[in-house]
Amino acid sequence: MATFKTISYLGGFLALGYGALKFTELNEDKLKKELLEFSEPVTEAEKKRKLMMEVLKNAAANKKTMENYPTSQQPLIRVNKESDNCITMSQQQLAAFLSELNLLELKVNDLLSGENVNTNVASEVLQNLTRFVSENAPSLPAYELRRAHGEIMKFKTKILEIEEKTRRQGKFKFTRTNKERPQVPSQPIECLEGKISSSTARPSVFLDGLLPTLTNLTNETITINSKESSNKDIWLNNLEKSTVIINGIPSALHMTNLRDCKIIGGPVLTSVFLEDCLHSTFVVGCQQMRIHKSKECDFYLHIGSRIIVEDCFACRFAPYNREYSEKAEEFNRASLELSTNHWDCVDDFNWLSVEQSPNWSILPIDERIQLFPRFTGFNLITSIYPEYIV
Amino acid sequence: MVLLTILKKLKQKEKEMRLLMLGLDNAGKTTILKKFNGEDVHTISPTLGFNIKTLEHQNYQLNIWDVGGQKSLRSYWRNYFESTDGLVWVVDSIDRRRMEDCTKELHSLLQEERLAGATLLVFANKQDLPGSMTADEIKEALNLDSIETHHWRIVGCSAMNGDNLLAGIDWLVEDIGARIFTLE
Repeated sequence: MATFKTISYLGGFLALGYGALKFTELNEDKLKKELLEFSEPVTEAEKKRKLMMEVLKNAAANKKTMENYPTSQQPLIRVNKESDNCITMSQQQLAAFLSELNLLELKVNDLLSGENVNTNVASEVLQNLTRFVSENAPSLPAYELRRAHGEIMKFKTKILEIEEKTRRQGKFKFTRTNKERPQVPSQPIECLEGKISSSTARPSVFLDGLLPTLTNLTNETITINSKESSNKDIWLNNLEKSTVIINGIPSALHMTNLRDCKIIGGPVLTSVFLEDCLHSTFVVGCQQMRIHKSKECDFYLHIGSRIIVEDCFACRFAPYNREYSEKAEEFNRASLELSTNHWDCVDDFNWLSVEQSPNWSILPIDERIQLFPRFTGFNLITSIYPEYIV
Repeated sequence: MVLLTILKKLKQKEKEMRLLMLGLDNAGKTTILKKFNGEDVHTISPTLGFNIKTLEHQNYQLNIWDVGGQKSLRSYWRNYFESTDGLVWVVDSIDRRRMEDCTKELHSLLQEERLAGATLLVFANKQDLPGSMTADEIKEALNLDSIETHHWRIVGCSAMNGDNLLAGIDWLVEDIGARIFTLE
Protein backbone atom coordinates (compact mmCIF):
# COMPACT_ATOMS: atom_id res chain seq x y z
CA MET A 1 0.00 0.00 0.00
CA ALA A 2 2.83 2.39 0.98
CA THR A 3 4.69 1.70 -2.28
CA PHE A 4 1.51 2.38 -4.26
CA LYS A 5 1.14 5.72 -2.43
CA THR A 6 4.73 6.80 -3.17
CA ILE A 7 4.36 5.83 -6.83
CA SER A 8 1.16 7.87 -7.19
CA TYR A 9 2.84 10.87 -5.46
CA LEU A 10 5.83 10.58 -7.77
CA GLY A 11 3.53 10.44 -10.77
CA GLY A 12 1.72 13.55 -9.55
CA PHE A 13 4.95 15.50 -9.13
CA LEU A 14 6.16 14.48 -12.55
CA ALA A 15 2.93 15.65 -14.16
CA LEU A 16 3.13 18.97 -12.31
CA GLY A 17 6.76 19.48 -13.36
CA TYR A 18 5.97 18.78 -17.00
CA GLY A 19 3.06 21.21 -16.88
CA ALA A 20 5.24 23.95 -15.40
CA LEU A 21 7.88 23.38 -18.07
CA LYS A 22 5.33 23.63 -20.86
CA PHE A 23 3.90 26.79 -19.36
CA THR A 24 7.22 28.61 -19.30
CA GLU A 25 7.96 27.48 -22.85
CA LEU A 26 4.69 28.88 -24.07
CA ASN A 27 5.36 32.18 -22.35
CA GLU A 28 8.78 32.38 -23.85
CA ASP A 29 7.40 31.95 -27.36
CA LYS A 30 4.84 34.63 -26.81
CA LEU A 31 7.42 36.99 -25.42
CA LYS A 32 9.72 36.40 -28.36
CA LYS A 33 6.90 37.14 -30.76
CA GLU A 34 6.08 40.35 -28.96
CA LEU A 35 9.68 41.48 -28.95
CA LEU A 36 9.96 40.78 -32.64
CA GLU A 37 6.95 42.87 -33.40
CA PHE A 38 8.24 45.64 -31.23
CA SER A 39 11.54 45.96 -32.99
CA GLU A 40 9.91 46.40 -36.40
CA PRO A 41 9.05 49.94 -37.49
CA VAL A 42 5.56 50.59 -36.25
CA THR A 43 3.88 52.06 -39.26
CA GLU A 44 4.28 51.97 -43.00
CA ALA A 45 5.05 55.64 -43.01
CA GLU A 46 7.86 55.19 -40.58
CA LYS A 47 9.33 52.36 -42.60
CA LYS A 48 9.21 54.48 -45.69
CA ARG A 49 10.75 57.40 -43.90
CA LYS A 50 13.65 55.34 -42.68
CA LEU A 51 14.23 53.92 -46.12
CA MET A 52 14.12 57.36 -47.66
CA MET A 53 16.57 58.77 -45.19
CA GLU A 54 18.97 56.02 -46.16
CA VAL A 55 18.49 56.60 -49.87
CA LEU A 56 19.05 60.32 -49.43
CA LYS A 57 22.15 59.74 -47.39
CA ASN A 58 23.61 57.37 -49.95
CA ALA A 59 22.84 59.78 -52.73
CA ALA A 60 24.46 62.58 -50.81
CA ALA A 61 27.51 60.44 -50.15
CA ASN A 62 27.86 59.58 -53.85
CA LYS A 63 27.51 63.18 -54.81
CA LYS A 64 30.10 64.20 -52.31
CA THR A 65 32.78 61.80 -53.44
CA MET A 66 32.06 62.39 -57.10
CA GLU A 67 31.89 66.13 -57.30
CA ASN A 68 32.99 68.06 -54.33
CA TYR A 69 35.88 66.15 -52.97
CA PRO A 70 37.96 65.00 -55.87
CA THR A 71 41.02 64.76 -53.67
CA SER A 72 39.64 61.96 -51.56
CA GLN A 73 38.64 59.15 -53.84
CA GLN A 74 37.53 56.94 -51.03
CA PRO A 75 35.22 57.69 -48.13
CA LEU A 76 37.15 59.29 -45.34
CA ILE A 77 35.82 57.05 -42.66
CA ARG A 78 35.86 53.34 -42.73
CA VAL A 79 34.06 51.14 -40.28
CA ASN A 80 36.46 49.29 -38.07
CA LYS A 81 35.77 45.66 -38.89
CA GLU A 82 37.35 44.15 -35.78
CA SER A 83 34.91 45.83 -33.44
CA ASP A 84 31.58 45.88 -35.13
CA ASN A 85 29.73 48.34 -32.95
CA CYS A 86 32.47 50.82 -32.53
CA ILE A 87 33.03 53.21 -35.41
CA THR A 88 36.14 55.18 -34.79
CA MET A 89 38.42 57.41 -36.74
CA SER A 90 42.12 56.89 -36.75
CA GLN A 91 44.35 59.90 -36.22
CA GLN A 92 45.08 60.03 -39.93
CA GLN A 93 41.43 59.93 -40.90
CA LEU A 94 40.64 62.61 -38.40
CA ALA A 95 43.39 64.78 -39.81
CA ALA A 96 42.04 64.24 -43.33
CA PHE A 97 38.53 65.12 -42.19
CA LEU A 98 39.72 68.25 -40.43
CA SER A 99 41.69 69.50 -43.40
CA GLU A 100 38.70 68.90 -45.68
CA LEU A 101 36.49 70.74 -43.21
CA ASN A 102 38.96 73.57 -43.01
CA LEU A 103 39.00 73.92 -46.78
CA LEU A 104 35.24 74.11 -46.95
CA GLU A 105 35.09 76.62 -44.13
CA LEU A 106 37.64 78.81 -45.84
CA LYS A 107 35.65 78.62 -49.05
CA VAL A 108 32.47 79.78 -47.31
CA ASN A 109 34.36 82.52 -45.54
CA ASP A 110 35.83 83.75 -48.81
CA LEU A 111 32.41 83.83 -50.40
CA LEU A 112 30.98 85.84 -47.54
CA SER A 113 33.69 88.42 -47.10
CA GLY A 114 35.40 90.72 -49.52
CA GLU A 115 33.74 92.72 -52.24
CA ASN A 116 31.74 90.31 -54.31
CA VAL A 117 29.66 88.50 -51.74
CA ASN A 118 27.63 85.66 -53.18
CA THR A 119 25.21 84.25 -50.64
CA ASN A 120 23.72 81.77 -53.10
CA VAL A 121 26.96 79.97 -53.74
CA ALA A 122 27.94 80.36 -50.10
CA SER A 123 24.79 78.68 -48.85
CA GLU A 124 25.29 75.90 -51.36
CA VAL A 125 28.80 75.28 -50.14
CA LEU A 126 27.56 75.55 -46.58
CA GLN A 127 24.95 72.93 -47.31
CA ASN A 128 27.67 70.60 -48.55
CA LEU A 129 29.65 71.38 -45.45
CA THR A 130 26.70 70.58 -43.20
CA ARG A 131 26.08 67.37 -45.06
CA PHE A 132 29.72 66.44 -44.79
CA VAL A 133 29.73 67.02 -41.03
CA SER A 134 26.45 65.22 -40.39
CA GLU A 135 27.58 62.19 -42.37
CA ASN A 136 30.74 61.92 -40.37
CA ALA A 137 29.07 62.90 -37.10
CA PRO A 138 28.78 59.40 -35.57
CA SER A 139 32.51 58.84 -35.70
CA LEU A 140 33.76 62.28 -34.73
CA PRO A 141 35.15 63.22 -31.34
CA ALA A 142 32.57 65.26 -29.42
CA TYR A 143 34.75 68.32 -29.31
CA GLU A 144 35.31 68.45 -33.06
CA LEU A 145 31.62 67.91 -33.71
CA ARG A 146 30.67 70.78 -31.42
CA ARG A 147 33.22 73.04 -33.00
CA ALA A 148 31.99 72.17 -36.50
CA HIS A 149 28.37 72.86 -35.46
CA GLY A 150 29.44 76.19 -34.01
CA GLU A 151 31.12 77.17 -37.26
CA ILE A 152 28.10 76.14 -39.32
CA MET A 153 25.85 78.23 -37.10
CA LYS A 154 28.10 81.24 -37.47
CA PHE A 155 28.07 80.99 -41.25
CA LYS A 156 24.31 80.55 -41.32
CA THR A 157 23.75 83.64 -39.25
CA LYS A 158 26.13 85.56 -41.46
CA ILE A 159 24.38 84.48 -44.65
CA LEU A 160 20.99 85.42 -43.25
CA GLU A 161 22.32 88.78 -42.11
CA ILE A 162 23.80 89.56 -45.51
CA GLU A 163 20.65 88.50 -47.26
CA GLU A 164 18.58 90.64 -44.98
CA LYS A 165 20.82 93.63 -45.59
CA THR A 166 20.49 93.33 -49.34
CA ARG A 167 16.74 93.00 -48.99
CA ARG A 168 16.56 96.09 -46.85
CA GLN A 169 18.25 98.03 -49.56
CA GLY A 170 15.00 97.72 -51.42
CA LYS A 171 16.03 95.09 -53.90
CA PHE A 172 13.03 92.95 -53.17
CA LYS A 173 9.68 94.56 -52.83
CA PHE A 174 6.04 93.71 -53.34
CA THR A 175 3.38 96.26 -53.84
CA ARG A 176 -0.29 96.09 -54.55
CA THR A 177 -0.77 96.13 -58.28
CA ASN A 178 -4.50 95.80 -58.51
CA LYS A 179 -4.92 98.44 -61.14
CA GLU A 180 -2.16 97.22 -63.36
CA ARG A 181 -3.55 93.75 -63.64
CA PRO A 182 -5.57 93.26 -66.80
CA GLN A 183 -9.18 92.57 -66.02
CA VAL A 184 -9.42 89.15 -67.51
CA PRO A 185 -13.02 88.05 -67.78
CA SER A 186 -13.84 84.86 -65.97
CA GLN A 187 -12.56 82.69 -68.66
CA PRO A 188 -13.13 78.97 -68.68
CA ILE A 189 -9.98 76.99 -68.08
CA GLU A 190 -8.34 75.59 -71.13
CA CYS A 191 -9.44 72.05 -71.32
CA LEU A 192 -9.58 69.21 -73.72
CA GLU A 193 -13.04 67.88 -73.20
CA GLY A 194 -13.75 68.06 -69.51
CA LYS A 195 -16.01 70.62 -67.96
CA ILE A 196 -15.23 72.56 -64.86
CA SER A 197 -18.17 73.46 -62.77
CA SER A 198 -16.49 75.76 -60.29
CA SER A 199 -14.92 78.06 -62.85
CA THR A 200 -18.09 79.21 -64.53
CA ALA A 201 -19.10 81.79 -61.98
CA ARG A 202 -16.00 83.43 -60.67
CA PRO A 203 -16.77 86.71 -58.94
CA SER A 204 -14.68 89.57 -60.23
CA VAL A 205 -13.51 90.59 -56.76
CA PHE A 206 -11.33 87.53 -56.72
CA LEU A 207 -9.54 88.36 -59.90
CA ASP A 208 -6.66 90.01 -58.12
CA GLY A 209 -5.58 86.53 -57.11
CA LEU A 210 -2.83 85.87 -54.69
CA LEU A 211 -1.51 89.32 -54.19
CA PRO A 212 -0.51 90.07 -50.65
CA THR A 213 -3.52 90.24 -48.38
CA LEU A 214 -1.51 92.50 -46.11
CA THR A 215 1.76 94.09 -47.07
CA ASN A 216 4.25 96.77 -46.02
CA LEU A 217 2.90 97.46 -42.55
CA THR A 218 4.72 98.44 -39.38
CA ASN A 219 3.37 98.61 -35.84
CA GLU A 220 -0.15 97.55 -36.75
CA THR A 221 -2.68 95.20 -35.24
CA ILE A 222 -5.03 93.70 -37.74
CA THR A 223 -7.86 91.23 -37.46
CA ILE A 224 -8.91 89.34 -40.55
CA ASN A 225 -12.49 88.24 -40.06
CA SER A 226 -13.86 84.91 -41.16
CA LYS A 227 -15.65 86.41 -44.15
CA GLU A 228 -12.40 87.74 -45.53
CA SER A 229 -10.48 84.57 -44.85
CA SER A 230 -12.73 81.60 -45.48
CA ASN A 231 -11.73 79.46 -48.43
CA LYS A 232 -9.11 81.93 -49.60
CA ASP A 233 -5.36 81.92 -49.77
CA ILE A 234 -4.00 84.54 -47.42
CA TRP A 235 -0.62 86.07 -48.03
CA LEU A 236 1.06 88.22 -45.42
CA ASN A 237 4.10 90.03 -46.73
CA ASN A 238 6.64 92.55 -45.47
CA LEU A 239 5.22 93.18 -42.02
CA GLU A 240 7.15 94.52 -39.11
CA LYS A 241 6.31 94.59 -35.42
CA SER A 242 2.71 93.80 -36.23
CA THR A 243 0.10 91.42 -34.91
CA VAL A 244 -2.31 89.68 -37.24
CA ILE A 245 -5.24 87.70 -35.94
CA ILE A 246 -6.89 85.44 -38.46
CA ASN A 247 -10.40 84.27 -37.74
CA GLY A 248 -12.15 81.69 -39.86
CA ILE A 249 -10.58 79.00 -42.03
CA PRO A 250 -8.39 80.16 -44.93
CA SER A 251 -7.59 77.59 -47.59
CA ALA A 252 -3.88 78.28 -47.31
CA LEU A 253 -1.58 80.71 -45.59
CA HIS A 254 1.60 82.19 -47.08
CA MET A 255 3.89 84.37 -45.00
CA THR A 256 6.97 86.12 -46.32
CA ASN A 257 9.33 88.74 -44.93
CA LEU A 258 7.92 89.10 -41.44
CA ARG A 259 9.95 90.78 -38.70
CA ASP A 260 8.98 90.73 -35.02
CA CYS A 261 5.41 89.77 -35.81
CA LYS A 262 2.75 87.71 -34.11
CA ILE A 263 0.42 85.72 -36.29
CA ILE A 264 -2.45 84.08 -34.46
CA GLY A 265 -5.01 81.95 -36.20
CA GLY A 266 -7.18 78.87 -36.08
CA PRO A 267 -6.95 76.00 -38.52
CA VAL A 268 -5.90 76.39 -42.16
CA LEU A 269 -7.55 74.03 -44.61
CA THR A 270 -4.41 72.84 -46.41
CA SER A 271 -0.91 74.18 -46.06
CA VAL A 272 1.09 76.94 -44.47
CA PHE A 273 4.10 78.28 -46.31
CA LEU A 274 6.63 80.47 -44.61
CA GLU A 275 9.73 82.18 -45.96
CA ASP A 276 12.22 84.78 -44.72
CA CYS A 277 10.69 85.35 -41.31
CA LEU A 278 12.64 86.65 -38.37
CA HIS A 279 11.96 86.73 -34.67
CA SER A 280 8.24 86.11 -34.98
CA THR A 281 5.62 83.96 -33.31
CA PHE A 282 3.05 81.83 -35.10
CA VAL A 283 0.00 80.14 -33.61
CA VAL A 284 -1.77 78.10 -36.24
CA GLY A 285 -3.28 74.75 -37.18
CA CYS A 286 -2.79 73.08 -40.57
CA GLN A 287 -2.27 69.87 -42.49
CA GLN A 288 1.14 70.76 -43.96
CA MET A 289 3.79 73.26 -42.98
CA ARG A 290 6.89 74.34 -44.86
CA ILE A 291 9.31 76.73 -43.23
CA HIS A 292 12.07 78.20 -45.37
CA LYS A 293 14.95 80.57 -44.60
CA SER A 294 13.63 81.72 -41.25
CA LYS A 295 15.40 82.54 -38.06
CA GLU A 296 14.51 82.74 -34.38
CA CYS A 297 10.83 82.02 -34.76
CA ASP A 298 8.48 80.29 -32.31
CA PHE A 299 5.70 78.04 -33.55
CA TYR A 300 2.63 76.84 -31.70
CA LEU A 301 1.28 74.26 -34.09
CA HIS A 302 -1.47 71.79 -34.57
CA ILE A 303 -0.39 69.83 -37.59
CA GLY A 304 -1.58 66.68 -39.31
CA SER A 305 1.70 65.75 -40.98
CA ARG A 306 5.40 66.32 -40.44
CA ILE A 307 6.87 69.81 -40.48
CA ILE A 308 9.37 70.62 -43.24
CA VAL A 309 12.22 72.94 -42.34
CA GLU A 310 14.74 74.19 -44.88
CA ASP A 311 17.60 76.69 -44.37
CA CYS A 312 16.32 77.69 -40.94
CA PHE A 313 18.01 78.55 -37.72
CA ALA A 314 16.92 78.72 -34.08
CA CYS A 315 13.29 77.81 -34.68
CA ARG A 316 11.35 76.50 -31.70
CA PHE A 317 8.19 74.43 -31.61
CA ALA A 318 5.36 73.95 -29.13
CA PRO A 319 1.88 72.45 -29.34
CA TYR A 320 -1.05 74.66 -30.34
CA ASN A 321 -2.46 76.02 -27.09
CA ARG A 322 -4.99 78.63 -28.06
CA GLU A 323 -8.50 78.01 -26.77
CA TYR A 324 -11.60 79.63 -28.18
CA SER A 325 -15.24 78.76 -28.34
CA GLU A 326 -15.50 77.50 -31.94
CA LYS A 327 -12.18 75.66 -31.81
CA ALA A 328 -13.52 72.10 -31.97
CA GLU A 329 -16.01 72.97 -34.68
CA GLU A 330 -13.47 74.81 -36.83
CA PHE A 331 -10.82 72.11 -36.56
CA ASN A 332 -13.44 69.58 -37.47
CA ARG A 333 -14.39 71.57 -40.56
CA ALA A 334 -10.74 71.77 -41.58
CA SER A 335 -10.55 67.95 -41.19
CA LEU A 336 -7.92 68.23 -38.49
CA GLU A 337 -8.23 65.81 -35.62
CA LEU A 338 -7.64 67.44 -32.28
CA SER A 339 -6.23 64.21 -30.92
CA THR A 340 -3.37 63.90 -33.44
CA ASN A 341 -0.81 66.64 -33.43
CA HIS A 342 2.67 66.22 -34.89
CA TRP A 343 4.01 69.54 -33.65
CA ASP A 344 7.32 67.99 -32.63
CA CYS A 345 7.90 65.92 -35.80
CA VAL A 346 10.24 68.16 -37.73
CA ASP A 347 12.18 67.20 -40.84
CA ASP A 348 15.17 69.44 -41.33
CA PHE A 349 16.32 69.05 -44.92
CA ASN A 350 19.70 70.50 -44.05
CA TRP A 351 20.31 67.86 -41.43
CA LEU A 352 20.15 64.34 -42.83
CA SER A 353 21.16 62.67 -39.63
CA VAL A 354 19.38 60.75 -36.92
CA GLU A 355 20.73 63.09 -34.30
CA GLN A 356 18.82 66.18 -33.26
CA SER A 357 19.21 68.98 -35.78
CA PRO A 358 20.91 72.08 -34.40
CA ASN A 359 18.54 74.27 -36.36
CA TRP A 360 15.40 73.68 -34.33
CA SER A 361 14.37 72.76 -30.81
CA ILE A 362 11.36 72.24 -28.62
CA LEU A 363 10.23 75.41 -26.90
CA PRO A 364 10.81 74.97 -23.14
CA ILE A 365 7.51 74.74 -21.27
CA ASP A 366 8.23 77.71 -19.01
CA GLU A 367 8.87 79.96 -22.00
CA ARG A 368 5.62 79.14 -23.75
CA ILE A 369 2.93 81.77 -23.82
CA GLN A 370 -0.27 80.60 -22.19
CA LEU A 371 -3.55 81.39 -23.84
CA PHE A 372 -6.37 81.11 -21.33
CA PRO A 373 -9.70 79.56 -22.23
CA ARG A 374 -11.98 82.12 -20.68
CA PHE A 375 -11.12 84.69 -23.32
CA THR A 376 -11.68 84.28 -26.98
CA GLY A 377 -10.09 85.56 -30.13
CA PHE A 378 -8.77 89.04 -30.00
CA ASN A 379 -9.56 89.74 -26.34
CA LEU A 380 -7.56 86.83 -25.25
CA ILE A 381 -4.37 88.18 -26.61
CA THR A 382 -4.72 91.79 -25.63
CA SER A 383 -5.83 91.16 -22.10
CA ILE A 384 -3.46 88.41 -21.14
CA TYR A 385 -0.49 89.60 -23.07
CA PRO A 386 -0.35 93.33 -23.20
CA GLU A 387 3.11 92.94 -24.65
CA TYR A 388 1.62 90.84 -27.38
CA ILE A 389 0.45 93.94 -29.12
CA VAL A 390 3.64 95.65 -30.01
CA MET B 1 -4.52 35.74 -88.67
CA VAL B 2 -5.15 34.04 -85.34
CA LEU B 3 -1.47 34.16 -84.58
CA LEU B 4 -1.40 37.87 -85.32
CA THR B 5 -4.20 38.62 -82.87
CA ILE B 6 -2.46 36.59 -80.20
CA LEU B 7 0.74 38.49 -80.83
CA LYS B 8 -1.08 41.78 -80.67
CA LYS B 9 -2.63 40.82 -77.36
CA LEU B 10 0.73 39.89 -75.95
CA LYS B 11 2.16 43.17 -77.12
CA GLN B 12 -0.66 45.04 -75.52
CA LYS B 13 0.16 43.49 -72.18
CA GLU B 14 3.65 44.89 -72.34
CA LYS B 15 2.50 48.40 -72.96
CA GLU B 16 4.14 50.14 -70.09
CA MET B 17 4.80 53.80 -69.62
CA ARG B 18 6.89 55.60 -67.09
CA LEU B 19 5.60 59.00 -66.05
CA LEU B 20 7.62 61.33 -63.88
CA MET B 21 5.74 63.95 -61.91
CA LEU B 22 7.73 66.98 -60.80
CA GLY B 23 7.11 70.54 -59.68
CA LEU B 24 7.85 72.91 -56.81
CA ASP B 25 6.86 71.92 -53.31
CA ASN B 26 3.23 72.53 -52.38
CA ALA B 27 2.15 72.24 -56.04
CA GLY B 28 -0.08 69.24 -55.34
CA LYS B 29 1.79 66.39 -57.00
CA THR B 30 0.96 63.80 -54.39
CA THR B 31 -2.63 65.00 -54.27
CA ILE B 32 -2.96 64.49 -58.04
CA LEU B 33 -1.50 61.01 -57.78
CA LYS B 34 -3.76 60.03 -54.90
CA LYS B 35 -6.85 61.52 -56.49
CA PHE B 36 -6.11 59.71 -59.73
CA ASN B 37 -5.81 56.52 -57.76
CA GLY B 38 -9.01 57.20 -55.83
CA GLU B 39 -7.42 57.67 -52.42
CA ASP B 40 -8.13 60.12 -49.64
CA VAL B 41 -6.53 63.51 -50.36
CA HIS B 42 -7.03 65.20 -47.01
CA THR B 43 -4.24 63.65 -45.00
CA ILE B 44 -1.25 64.09 -47.28
CA SER B 45 2.18 64.92 -45.89
CA PRO B 46 4.86 66.83 -47.75
CA THR B 47 6.72 64.20 -49.74
CA LEU B 48 10.00 63.16 -48.26
CA GLY B 49 11.52 61.20 -51.12
CA PHE B 50 9.03 59.79 -53.58
CA ASN B 51 5.82 57.83 -54.16
CA ILE B 52 5.26 55.30 -56.93
CA LYS B 53 1.88 54.12 -58.18
CA THR B 54 1.21 51.64 -60.91
CA LEU B 55 -2.15 51.94 -62.59
CA GLU B 56 -3.94 50.49 -65.55
CA HIS B 57 -5.26 53.14 -67.89
CA GLN B 58 -6.35 52.89 -71.53
CA ASN B 59 -4.80 49.43 -71.75
CA TYR B 60 -1.48 50.84 -70.70
CA GLN B 61 0.28 50.18 -67.50
CA LEU B 62 1.33 53.53 -66.06
CA ASN B 63 4.16 53.73 -63.57
CA ILE B 64 3.80 57.15 -62.04
CA TRP B 65 6.68 58.52 -60.01
CA ASP B 66 5.92 61.42 -57.73
CA VAL B 67 9.10 62.99 -56.39
CA GLY B 68 9.27 65.58 -53.58
CA GLY B 69 9.68 69.17 -54.75
CA GLN B 70 11.37 70.65 -51.71
CA LYS B 71 14.33 72.80 -52.70
CA SER B 72 16.93 70.51 -51.19
CA LEU B 73 15.33 67.51 -52.91
CA ARG B 74 15.47 69.02 -56.38
CA SER B 75 19.10 68.00 -56.87
CA TYR B 76 17.94 64.40 -56.58
CA TRP B 77 15.38 64.73 -59.36
CA ARG B 78 17.96 63.65 -61.91
CA ASN B 79 18.13 60.23 -60.27
CA TYR B 80 14.66 59.59 -61.69
CA PHE B 81 15.14 60.79 -65.27
CA GLU B 82 16.18 57.48 -66.80
CA SER B 83 13.72 56.01 -69.33
CA THR B 84 10.97 58.52 -68.61
CA ASP B 85 8.28 58.54 -71.29
CA GLY B 86 6.24 61.43 -69.97
CA LEU B 87 6.99 64.36 -67.73
CA VAL B 88 4.13 65.83 -65.70
CA TRP B 89 5.00 69.29 -64.45
CA VAL B 90 2.63 70.44 -61.72
CA VAL B 91 2.17 74.16 -61.06
CA ASP B 92 0.47 75.78 -58.09
CA SER B 93 -1.69 78.24 -60.05
CA ILE B 94 -2.19 80.48 -57.07
CA ASP B 95 1.44 80.92 -56.14
CA ARG B 96 2.40 83.89 -58.32
CA ARG B 97 5.23 84.64 -55.97
CA ARG B 98 7.25 81.62 -57.03
CA MET B 99 6.21 81.47 -60.68
CA GLU B 100 9.63 82.69 -61.74
CA ASP B 101 11.29 79.96 -59.74
CA CYS B 102 8.89 77.49 -61.31
CA THR B 103 9.76 78.64 -64.83
CA LYS B 104 13.45 78.37 -64.15
CA GLU B 105 13.21 74.84 -62.79
CA LEU B 106 11.06 73.67 -65.69
CA HIS B 107 13.33 75.05 -68.37
CA SER B 108 16.41 73.59 -66.76
CA LEU B 109 14.66 70.20 -66.77
CA LEU B 110 13.95 70.50 -70.46
CA GLN B 111 17.67 70.93 -71.13
CA GLU B 112 18.21 67.50 -69.66
CA GLU B 113 19.38 64.96 -72.21
CA ARG B 114 17.76 62.01 -70.52
CA LEU B 115 14.36 63.69 -70.75
CA ALA B 116 14.82 64.58 -74.40
CA GLY B 117 12.28 62.06 -75.65
CA ALA B 118 9.63 62.72 -73.04
CA THR B 119 6.25 64.32 -73.66
CA LEU B 120 5.51 67.25 -71.35
CA LEU B 121 2.16 67.75 -69.67
CA VAL B 122 1.79 70.86 -67.51
CA PHE B 123 -0.95 70.69 -64.91
CA ALA B 124 -2.10 74.14 -63.82
CA ASN B 125 -3.36 72.86 -60.50
CA LYS B 126 -5.63 74.45 -57.88
CA GLN B 127 -8.03 75.94 -60.43
CA ASP B 128 -10.79 75.50 -57.85
CA LEU B 129 -9.29 78.23 -55.66
CA PRO B 130 -10.51 81.77 -56.13
CA GLY B 131 -7.82 83.98 -57.63
CA SER B 132 -5.79 81.27 -59.30
CA MET B 133 -4.08 82.03 -62.60
CA THR B 134 -5.74 80.50 -65.63
CA ALA B 135 -4.01 77.93 -67.79
CA ASP B 136 -3.40 80.61 -70.43
CA GLU B 137 -1.78 82.96 -67.96
CA ILE B 138 0.46 80.17 -66.77
CA LYS B 139 1.35 79.29 -70.33
CA GLU B 140 2.59 82.86 -70.68
CA ALA B 141 4.36 82.89 -67.33
CA LEU B 142 6.18 79.63 -67.98
CA ASN B 143 7.02 80.69 -71.51
CA LEU B 144 5.76 77.39 -72.85
CA ASP B 145 5.51 78.63 -76.41
CA SER B 146 9.29 78.71 -76.57
CA ILE B 147 9.50 74.95 -76.15
CA GLU B 148 10.36 73.26 -79.41
CA THR B 149 12.14 70.20 -78.16
CA HIS B 150 9.18 68.45 -76.58
CA HIS B 151 5.53 67.74 -77.33
CA TRP B 152 3.72 69.72 -74.67
CA ARG B 153 0.28 70.75 -73.51
CA ILE B 154 -1.07 72.68 -70.54
CA VAL B 155 -4.24 71.62 -68.75
CA GLY B 156 -5.97 73.53 -65.97
CA CYS B 157 -7.05 71.11 -63.27
CA SER B 158 -8.01 70.70 -59.66
CA ALA B 159 -6.55 67.82 -57.73
CA MET B 160 -8.89 68.44 -54.80
CA ASN B 161 -12.05 67.74 -56.79
CA GLY B 162 -10.47 65.83 -59.65
CA ASP B 163 -11.47 68.17 -62.49
CA ASN B 164 -9.61 67.61 -65.75
CA LEU B 165 -7.06 65.18 -64.31
CA LEU B 166 -8.28 62.43 -66.56
CA ALA B 167 -8.32 64.66 -69.62
CA GLY B 168 -4.69 65.61 -69.03
CA ILE B 169 -3.46 62.09 -68.45
CA ASP B 170 -5.49 60.85 -71.45
CA TRP B 171 -3.73 63.29 -73.75
CA LEU B 172 -0.34 62.38 -72.31
CA VAL B 173 -0.93 58.66 -72.73
CA GLU B 174 -2.21 59.11 -76.28
CA ASP B 175 0.75 61.25 -77.25
CA ILE B 176 3.27 58.82 -75.82
CA GLY B 177 1.36 55.91 -77.30
CA ALA B 178 1.40 57.46 -80.74
CA ARG B 179 5.12 58.03 -80.47
CA ILE B 180 6.24 54.73 -79.05
CA PHE B 181 3.70 52.07 -79.89
CA THR B 182 3.01 52.74 -83.55
CA LEU B 183 5.03 49.81 -84.75
CA GLU B 184 2.06 47.61 -85.62
